[in-house]
Amino acid sequence: MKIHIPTKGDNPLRHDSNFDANWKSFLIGLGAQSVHSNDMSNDRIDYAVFEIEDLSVMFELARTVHAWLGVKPEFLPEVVPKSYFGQKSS
Amino acid sequence: MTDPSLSFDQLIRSVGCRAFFTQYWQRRSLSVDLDKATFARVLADVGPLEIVSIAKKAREGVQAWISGPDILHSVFDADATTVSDFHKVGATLYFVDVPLPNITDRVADALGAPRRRVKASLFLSSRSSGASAHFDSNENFTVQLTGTKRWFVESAPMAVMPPVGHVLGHRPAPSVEKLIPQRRAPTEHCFKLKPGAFLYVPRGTVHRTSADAESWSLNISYAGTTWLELLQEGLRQQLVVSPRWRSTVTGASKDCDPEASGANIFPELIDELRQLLDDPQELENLYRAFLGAPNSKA
Repeated sequence: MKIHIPTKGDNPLRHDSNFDANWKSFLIGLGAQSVHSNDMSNDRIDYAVFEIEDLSVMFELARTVHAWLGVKPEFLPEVVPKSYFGQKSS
Repeated sequence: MTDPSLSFDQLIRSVGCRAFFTQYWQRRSLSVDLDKATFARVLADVGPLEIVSIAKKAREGVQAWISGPDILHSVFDADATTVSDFHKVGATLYFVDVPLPNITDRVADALGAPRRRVKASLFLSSRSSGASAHFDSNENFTVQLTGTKRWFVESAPMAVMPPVGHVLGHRPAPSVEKLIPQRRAPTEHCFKLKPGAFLYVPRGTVHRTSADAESWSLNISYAGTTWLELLQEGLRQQLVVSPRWRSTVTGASKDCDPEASGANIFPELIDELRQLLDDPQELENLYRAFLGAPNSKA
């Protein structure tokens, strides 16, 4: 999931000094396996990795993120091929 | 009895080929309704609109586009094994390069274009979906097969002969950056395409779409083929058979050894090239080499 983080002018949540910690906890609470942040020229884009097997889960995740942060996320799929034996390795 | 082969002329019958090429081609969009027989011919060529079987035919795969009130436009690769799952969640499905030679070859032949560059793709647009404003580097023809879809098309190309497409609001690729005007006052026309409607959108023309209900459409695109490319490709195919043109570049720099400059045959080759380009038969062979047709002389 790619999320364009709003500026402080666009979202008052960004004024909270704990924003980064709260945001990361929020995403982990949704099931994110990792969260990466990238700042370039005052543009901040975050990437959260989710393992999604049921496509309908995407809509619920997106709805929750949109409601919390006020921006729509984009999904950048990374399709993991089935293993040779048709079973996921643990 | 139905004519077994579809012609390009049938697709644009209501305006005619002369008017199409003088008034619309690469200039402005055109929307016409196909006659019943032509539309029936198109539907017969496309065959059953069944997503798994069409996914199996799509030579460049399937894209699933998902967007909505909470999701930015997201693109997923799909195939025959996953396309139904994407359909269930309301994705728009784009079946890329579905072989329909009865249609694409006729269009290519009428345009005088290489058949390999004219491709058919199918869209299954989901309810409440649409493409945001963008222009393509391809010449695009669309036939609405089922349902309705609204197209908002600007009256003239925004970018003149763009080498790549561009989505408005995104950072343009360097090759089109200078082609996009800083200021403009676009005029947008809305075409509500119903089954049997045909739409031509010239390369570089900004358009967006909106679907209120699920619908199928056929897209025929003629992908960026330029005169420059014809010259390069045609000449390459003509000249590569010559050992002199294949010989190693030597003596091209003024600073090289004087003995090496004696091996510079480029001025002689340019004389050969001038003669070739002055020969109408050789020019015809350039076209044929590019179109993939056999040369008229050995």
